[in-house]
Amino acid sequence: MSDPVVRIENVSKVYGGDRLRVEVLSEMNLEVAGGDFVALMGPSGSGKTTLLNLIAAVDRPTSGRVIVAGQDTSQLSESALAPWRHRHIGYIFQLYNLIPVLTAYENVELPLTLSRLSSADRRAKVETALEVVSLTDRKDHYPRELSGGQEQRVAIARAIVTDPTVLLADEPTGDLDAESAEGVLRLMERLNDEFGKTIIMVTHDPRAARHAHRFLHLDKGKLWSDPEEVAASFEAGGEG
Amino acid sequence: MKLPLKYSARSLLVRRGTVMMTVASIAFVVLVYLGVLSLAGGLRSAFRTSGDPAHVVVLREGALSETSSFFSLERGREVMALPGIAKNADGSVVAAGEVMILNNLPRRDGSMSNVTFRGVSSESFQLRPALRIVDGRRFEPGTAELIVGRRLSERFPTLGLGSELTLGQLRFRVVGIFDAAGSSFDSEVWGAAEDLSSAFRRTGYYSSALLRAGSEAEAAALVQRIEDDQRLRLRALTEAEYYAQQTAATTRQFVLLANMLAVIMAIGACFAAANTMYAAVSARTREIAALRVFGFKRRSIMGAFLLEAALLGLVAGLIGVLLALPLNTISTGTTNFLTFSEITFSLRTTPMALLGGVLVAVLTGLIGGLPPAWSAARKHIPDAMRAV
Amino acid sequence: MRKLVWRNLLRNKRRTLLTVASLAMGVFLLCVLGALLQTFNPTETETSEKRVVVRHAVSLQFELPEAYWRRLETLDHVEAVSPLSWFGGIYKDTRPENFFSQFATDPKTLLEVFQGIEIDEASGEAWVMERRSFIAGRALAEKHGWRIGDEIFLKGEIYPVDLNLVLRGTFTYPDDQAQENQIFFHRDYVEEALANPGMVGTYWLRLDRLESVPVVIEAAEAMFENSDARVKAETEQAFAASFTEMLGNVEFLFGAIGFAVIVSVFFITANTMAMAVRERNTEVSVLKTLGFGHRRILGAVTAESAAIGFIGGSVGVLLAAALVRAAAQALSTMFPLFSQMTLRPGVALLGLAAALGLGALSGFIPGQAMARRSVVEGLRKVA
Repeated sequence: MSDPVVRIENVSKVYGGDRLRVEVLSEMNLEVAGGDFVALMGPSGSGKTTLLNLIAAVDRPTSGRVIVAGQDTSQLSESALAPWRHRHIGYIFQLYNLIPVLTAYENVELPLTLSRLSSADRRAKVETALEVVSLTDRKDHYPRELSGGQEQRVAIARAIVTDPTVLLADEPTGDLDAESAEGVLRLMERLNDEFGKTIIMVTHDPRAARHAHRFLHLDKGKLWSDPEEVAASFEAGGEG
Repeated sequence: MKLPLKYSARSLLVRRGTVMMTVASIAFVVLVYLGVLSLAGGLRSAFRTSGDPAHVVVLREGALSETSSFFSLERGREVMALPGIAKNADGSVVAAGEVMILNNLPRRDGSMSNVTFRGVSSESFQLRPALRIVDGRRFEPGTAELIVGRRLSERFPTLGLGSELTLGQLRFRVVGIFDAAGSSFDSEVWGAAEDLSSAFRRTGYYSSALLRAGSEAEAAALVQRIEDDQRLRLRALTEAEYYAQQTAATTRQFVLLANMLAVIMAIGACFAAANTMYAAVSARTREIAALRVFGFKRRSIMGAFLLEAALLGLVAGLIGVLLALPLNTISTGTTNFLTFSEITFSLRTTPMALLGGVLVAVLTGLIGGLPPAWSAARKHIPDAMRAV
Repeated sequence: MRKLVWRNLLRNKRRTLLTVASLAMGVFLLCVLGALLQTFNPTETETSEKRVVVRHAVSLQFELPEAYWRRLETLDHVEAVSPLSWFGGIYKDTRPENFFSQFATDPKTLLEVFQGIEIDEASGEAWVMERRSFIAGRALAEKHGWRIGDEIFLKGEIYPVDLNLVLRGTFTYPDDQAQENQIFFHRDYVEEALANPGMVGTYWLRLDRLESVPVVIEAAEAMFENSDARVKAETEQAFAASFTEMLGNVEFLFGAIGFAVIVSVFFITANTMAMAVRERNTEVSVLKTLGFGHRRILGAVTAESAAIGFIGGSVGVLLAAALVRAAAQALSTMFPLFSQMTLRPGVALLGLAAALGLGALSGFIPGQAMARRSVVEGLRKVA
């Protein structure tokens, strides 16, 4: 097996000061191989988003190492991190977070404005990305003119247009109706199958999790990979 | 049903940051307004305290100020012998013929300005009871000595106590510093009339005569008598009136300037207040909907937002007033446009000006707050409830 | 990114508009103040630099003997000497709108000393010939509706004599339009009415060239060193400046007002940008996860507010340019000095630069905080 794309080594994350310390992650270890599709589940406040943020290097661990694409991100300065994220990370948010003043096309194009591409290359990439998410006909619409599912697909196109090493998705279907959610999940499955994208998806919808290859359950700051345990946790209704 | 004041006031506190910036911008409008008005106020009060309504100033016919007035000593003596002038116990009249001379002198910063030299007699002191020597002593007539108003001596290095200066043909020495209680005499240099006349080769003339009448009514009669006497060809008016005229033009200009600045700046600040209030309205869209659902009328919503805007203006006005109060300690100088001579005075913010400043601020808040309050009141409830 | 800056400007049009409007008022005011201040510093023209004014050393309240005229003419480098006495009479009443400069002079020499005065030959000759006549600046004559042959009455204030003058011509003064707000008449006429005291307020000397100025100033002052009436000689600029100097702290006053205006405007734009930045927390975090660095984000916010500054500044300058004439008219009723107020390019540029700088600064400050804020903070979902 080749080197994992994401490696989490003994990572702990503590929030708060002296009086109110909350240990969100404790001594966690995780490896995600290239081409994997991991679903990360767990109750609210279990640290799912924190873990995602650590991988995206928008947050730093209290202790331990986070190595993504062979790079220990804690070694990078804030100014070096920005281009690093641009190359390796594609992030998909629950609330899509499209820029409201830009059209679908412009939103997808936005990350590319950071690279030195010719405008023709840029156009080709944006159009390919929009095609993958089947929104070519909506490219000149503003976010407010799109449905939630469409907005999320634009957000996915924006995340993949730079061909990042890892796709991180934080509850991508959390705000969608069942039908739209299914569309988005199938799209992510396809990205994983056809394009070999490594995906780490946070969700607390067991149906969403079924699209992934691997389930991980995060609770009490630790990872549990036993699917039975995961299922049991859902049956117990521990989810809000 | 009216929304309580508490609602408006607390809402302001919630948005401290943006409110404070708007308050600051309006407060500066008030500061500028009061700053310029305090110039007018100071100037006016300097001249108002100079004039006694029972005193009569006599000038050459047609002259507007003492500097452009002159008449012969003989004519002066005639005027001072008129009936109706108050007398001392020894029978001498309380009247003084005076000489007014402008002399160009350097200020502390090197720029030049005309300084008023008043040649006086001993009755002159009697006629200005507010004037007292604070350092040194009075001049001795016939010895080329001078006394200088305190504020003037601070502004002109050649007019300090003990300094000597050549005036026309004579060398003079400053032997005393006086304080005239903020009146325009604070901007003058005094010496014996004969000394100054001969130094400047102006012998044989008075610039003006100052007479004390027994009462205000007698002063009016004395004015009438002099004006009516065609042979004298002199102009008479009460001292109070004379000094009021001296500043009218200049203070009017300052008031005009203050109003012009306040209007332009206030328009700008209105836009700022509107911005802040619009932000407040849009941030509270759901809150407004809820209030409407509870049964508050449109009028109450509008009233609450207007009140909030007025409060914002009021706070700004009060801060502006607080910022402007230290202006009262500043003393400055400018030129009397009628005579082109230096006048020093203290800035003075009058209660009326302060009130005006607060009013400007409240109006700014209200006018700026009107369109946002209107839009708040007209929000469609179902839409407003769904707003993020 | 440029697109983003532009679109963000238009995102809350009302707010941008209001901010632009308040900024424009501030810049408008700055420009007017600048234009006002500049009226205190008259333009320097080559001809005016070659003129020297001689007056009594004590102050303008004192006059000089008529005999000085011929003696000044004997000085080297002096090409012409003309006497000018400030008459300061009252036209109609003492209201400021009826104020204008009135000089008793010698017509022939006046036109030699002030070669910038343009008057048609016939009018000039008619004026020189007729003792009781006067000439007026064209602008002034138009303002009061005087026509050739009209008589005006001046009540003496400084001099105990009243004058009846008849208009024989109007002149222009292209070098300095402010000079058109005055009238000139025969000093002989005034002298006669006063029973020939033989006194003159000031003497104006035209020199052969610029280099002679210091020489002549020194020579003129030395010439009367031991006379009863010593003189002060200075350039025309210095003479004009002496009136401004007497006003004292006008520059300081206007400077202080200008500063307060700038601070006030700064609070306004900074507030707008703070509001704009606050509502974009999430968006900025998204940009960061997309790989946009601090500097780019800061740059975008600064550019956005600088654009607001630029637009507001431009509107303010245009407003000032359009209204400066009207403002001059309005002000001249109170301050005759300001009737010639114009907006010079330097002042306009300064106003624009101030707006641009304020705009950029008020974006930079919240932008700085925003660029530094942790991404996690901004991404926290709205509950």
